Amino acid sequence: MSSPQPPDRKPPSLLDFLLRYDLAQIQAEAKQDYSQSSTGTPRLLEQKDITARFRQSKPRPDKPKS
Amino acid sequence: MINRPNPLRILLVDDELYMRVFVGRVLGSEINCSVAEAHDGQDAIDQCAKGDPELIILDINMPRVDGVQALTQIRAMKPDTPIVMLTSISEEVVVEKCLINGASHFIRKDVGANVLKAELKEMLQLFFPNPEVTHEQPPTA
Repeated sequence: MSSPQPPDRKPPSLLDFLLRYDLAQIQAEAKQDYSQSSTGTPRLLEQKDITARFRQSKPRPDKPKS
Repeated sequence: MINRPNPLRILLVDDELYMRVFVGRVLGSEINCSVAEAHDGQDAIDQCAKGDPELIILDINMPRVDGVQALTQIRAMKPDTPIVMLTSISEEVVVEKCLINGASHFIRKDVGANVLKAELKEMLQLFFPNPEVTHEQPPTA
């Protein structure tokens, strides 16, 4: 009597044990989970961040009056 | 020191006297200016309706009418005048609100005196650059 043949399975490789993360998705979820509206904690900005935001929108320079 | 032929007309709006004194002194040391003071948002709106300031420096936390409300009303009256928010509030939502409502710049005042001085100086250079300073390259021989 012959024993049944084991199914022909490939031995697992190291890649099968690796957990794959979608970093972009995790970041997006974290951002949503910890946003100001969800946590209720206001986000405070440093002066350099504030200045950068205002520089993006054009400053209004003094108009020379003739 | 920024030299101007005529003094820059500044409206300084803050409910705290010591802040008006400090900022007024810093501005006076950096630019030829005349500083009018308002102690709340409504006072600022009234003074803007009557006068014609060339620069408005606006606090946010003030009695009667706060700085953001005042900003909206003043911006409607003075579309081209630089309005600089000067406040200890640094919450992102407030900064964005000011940006949307037409603030020209935003300076945190909850910093050391020297940092605040530097920020005010930088702000003046941004909006009122010294006409005598040129950045032309010297002619090459």
